[in-house]
Amino acid sequence: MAQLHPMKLTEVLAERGLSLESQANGEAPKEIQDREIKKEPTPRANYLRNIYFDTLSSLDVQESYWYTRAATEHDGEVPIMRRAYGLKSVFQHLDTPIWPHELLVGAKAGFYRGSAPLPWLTESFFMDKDSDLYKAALATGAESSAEVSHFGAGGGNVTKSFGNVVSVGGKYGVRREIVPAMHRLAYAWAGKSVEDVGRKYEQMVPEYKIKENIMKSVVSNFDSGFTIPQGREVMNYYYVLEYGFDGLIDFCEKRAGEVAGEAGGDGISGMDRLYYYKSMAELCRGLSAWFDNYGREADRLLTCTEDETSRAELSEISERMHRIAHEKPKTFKDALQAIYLLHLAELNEDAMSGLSPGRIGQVLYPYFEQDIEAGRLTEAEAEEWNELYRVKMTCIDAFACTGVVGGVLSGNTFNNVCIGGLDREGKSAANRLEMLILEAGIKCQTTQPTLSLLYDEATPEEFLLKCMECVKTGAGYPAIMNNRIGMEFIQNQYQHEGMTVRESRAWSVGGCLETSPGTWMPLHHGGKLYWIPGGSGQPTSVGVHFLNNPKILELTLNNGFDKRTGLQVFEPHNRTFDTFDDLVDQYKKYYEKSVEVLNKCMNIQHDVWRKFTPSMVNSLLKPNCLERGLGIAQKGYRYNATFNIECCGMCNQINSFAAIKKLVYDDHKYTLDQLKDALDHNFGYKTSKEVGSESLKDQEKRDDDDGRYDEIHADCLRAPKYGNDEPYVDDMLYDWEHWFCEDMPHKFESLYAEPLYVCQMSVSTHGPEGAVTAATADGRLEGTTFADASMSAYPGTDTHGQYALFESATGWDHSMSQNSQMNLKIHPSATKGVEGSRKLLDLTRAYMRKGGFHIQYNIVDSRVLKKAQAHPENYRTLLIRVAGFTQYWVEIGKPIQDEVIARTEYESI
Amino acid sequence: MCKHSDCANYIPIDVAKGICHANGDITVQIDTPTCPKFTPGFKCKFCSHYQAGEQNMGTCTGFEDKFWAFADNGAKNCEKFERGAAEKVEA
Ligand code: SF4
Ligand code: SF4
Repeated sequence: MAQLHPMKLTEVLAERGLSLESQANGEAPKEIQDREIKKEPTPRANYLRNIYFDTLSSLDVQESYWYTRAATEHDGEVPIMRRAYGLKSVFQHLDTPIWPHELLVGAKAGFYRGSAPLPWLTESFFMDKDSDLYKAALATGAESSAEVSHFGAGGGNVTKSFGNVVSVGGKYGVRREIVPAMHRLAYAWAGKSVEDVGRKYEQMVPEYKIKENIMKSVVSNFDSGFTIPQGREVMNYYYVLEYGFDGLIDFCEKRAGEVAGEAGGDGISGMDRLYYYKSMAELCRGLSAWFDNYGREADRLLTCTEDETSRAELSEISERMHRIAHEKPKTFKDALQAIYLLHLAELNEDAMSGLSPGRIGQVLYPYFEQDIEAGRLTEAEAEEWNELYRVKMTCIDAFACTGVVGGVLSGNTFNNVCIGGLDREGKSAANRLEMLILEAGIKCQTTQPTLSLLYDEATPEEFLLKCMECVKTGAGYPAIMNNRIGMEFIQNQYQHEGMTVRESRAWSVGGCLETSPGTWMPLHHGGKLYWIPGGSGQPTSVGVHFLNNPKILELTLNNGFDKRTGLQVFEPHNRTFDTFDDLVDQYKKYYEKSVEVLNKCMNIQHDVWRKFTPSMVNSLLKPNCLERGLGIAQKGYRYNATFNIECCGMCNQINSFAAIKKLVYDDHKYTLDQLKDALDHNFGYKTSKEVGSESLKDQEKRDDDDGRYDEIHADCLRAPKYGNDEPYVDDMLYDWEHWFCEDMPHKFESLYAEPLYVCQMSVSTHGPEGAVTAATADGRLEGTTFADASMSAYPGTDTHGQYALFESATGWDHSMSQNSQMNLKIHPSATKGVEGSRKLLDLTRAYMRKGGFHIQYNIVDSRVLKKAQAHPENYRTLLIRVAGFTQYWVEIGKPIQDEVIARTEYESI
Repeated sequence: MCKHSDCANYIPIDVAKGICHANGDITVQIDTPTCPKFTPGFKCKFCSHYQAGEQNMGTCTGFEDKFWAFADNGAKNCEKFERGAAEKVEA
């Protein structure tokens, strides 16, 4: 009988015995299986988490207002002082709400899940589509990735306006009555923001036009200097824990007096030290007032609260906040409260994602140990405070443009807490408090903070099994990072800045996977000295953002021309590619050109940023700025070689390389022109735009398709694929890794005249970058999502089991790169019971011992995900691991949901 | 016309709703009628230094330098906030 509907890709593949929803190592049980481990949070944490579940992402312009007002009043000041006055005013004036039953207080803005526009950084994207500011940004390609980015329609995303609530950027809600003020604030910075000034100067790069085309064709995902210029780094809370704000203010004032008028040796940065210390003193005064205002709010609530328990809790909050506004913390609760507010303070100084608390179980351990010993704290209390911390961290929202928040971050903010690793002396650093952090992560499942285990051979078995128990809840955390590989990367990258083996043990993960340098700091508490780890580098993952590897291959095949946009992105190469090596050679030339142009433009953007709106809270907290009296602009940080080059779609790129080499150059079954013709015609399928979906399983044949591309498509799909321990394709990956990690980045220099390195994780960019890319020679169809991560196989193509995948993934030195990423989906029945936990640990160990850097698991029955997609209203709390982060299912866009469903599900280990 | 979000007993959750501390910490939707316990909260529009202008914006004369302000700006932590005539606005 004739087809009555267009034939779906799934049906075509089924006819050929292929599937998009692959199971490997057996079959899933007939009955849908739920996750094995389920525990409940404390009633207090549950109450507060339930508020979150019903909270909309909300915009507040209080911060925008007070910063603008203070900066205007101090116009003409030394820039860093002007910025300090702006931030001081923000912290002095922000609303300080306290919600019922809270013990741990603090909010980024005046809402439970609030954030604020920062128009001094960028102002175009939150304007009306017909405003001149928005149109100007559109012309530069700054909004191109936003056009192909998606938010989940559920959860707290305000994707549409309603009543008196206006949707901004596809995710945030703002009250209609404050929209005029928001626009006025944006226009106050027009022509003066980092975005606008940076744009003016980057146009002076001779090849700026190429950069613009790169952005418009989404060869790169977004600009660096004005979108999320900080983050992907590890916090350091040490100075406030050691000295308190009063101590820091005294220190800064004293040092300002000492350095005033002194040339400082180099004749350049001498007076910068004066302004630095004065600005830090002002900033500390603002932060101190902010802490104090929470005490005042508790005092106010006490006047209108009758319930005795609530009154006692408010009194405790009041006492603590008034005290730690000046003095250093004395207890575990003080210290956790202080680091939470410091974290928010840092988040409030810039648009940011991936700001990681770091190894806080080790930072807070001195307080925990002494409080438990003195009977001031019970383990149950410590665990509840960790649950409350989880809820509070989950309430953090980042306000940035749609292309970044939707297309890259999937609405996530990536606050990574690391556990395990080694201490300063090289022994296991895992401790009892970290066991409680894991338990809190099991009981109070939330997206933030995500957890990462720094796996080391010295990590105790009991600790590792507790991690496996946590993974089995299906929350996706902890991810497992290889401590040895992380340390080696850190030593290589920062050796010239003084990195030692001992110091490299203090490393931690910024954002989802960004290996970041750390330092051991001497904390004095209760008469004892503790060496605590903390971040000591500049923000990482700044520089060249997410080069679209398959797209660059498409442009190579098409003489530099992008058919989707009609732009000649690169100079035509006019080569015919007589050999496969010719093709790869040209590919690398275009790749290098992209890096060269983007690096220059991003250096300019970041230079404007460091001159106008440099990090302040960050440079107060990171060594060695305070000691040196130098901020980020003067390389006051201990480690400054943090700019990188990110990529996306590597698996599809390598698989495409393999298909081209095999079908065109080795087997001579097709000419390159025949292959290009098939790709141009999307193998006879409709475009994703015509289908209205970027998900592979929705793709369907053209109505007029005559089957002429069926055979070539089948051959492309059957060509060797990464992930099966097949040297034909794996060797191409290793060659590529060597060039990508070692040969190419060292040709370029960051703004700080430091060497670049590479970063290999997709976050969510495999959705939008796939959306703009034509069909690829591996058989993937036009517009569809790429494989996630960098070491994961393309869904359904890893058919030889996990160990074959591990062989493919580990034939190169992972420490050459800031990271690599491996996502595995495993059916819950495969990890059941203690035996299942041990199997999961063995599997993890096998990958670590082979030299893999990172692995993470989704322990889930894919059928649950399909049900959740059909009935999101019943799955508000469902968590899923995407690519380096855990997110609520309902808050991610459909293309990424489909990709997670389609990932190969391993039925056994 | 005042809203729940203008009330001193209101604790904001998001742009649509908040918690009423005077009525047992219940959830209230901003754009629904207020109750008899309404008490003006802390916003520029309730400050004697605020001079209303157009589009919900006006002028703040509370500091040394005059500057524009907007009616719904939270003022709980403004050191110059002084409760003004707008306090008499009916709920
Ligand atoms: S108006 Fe009434 S219900 Fe609304 S917040 Fe005030 S006291 Fe509560
Ligand atoms: S003094 Fe403060 S509260 Fe009063 S109008 Fe000015 S900014 Fe608003």
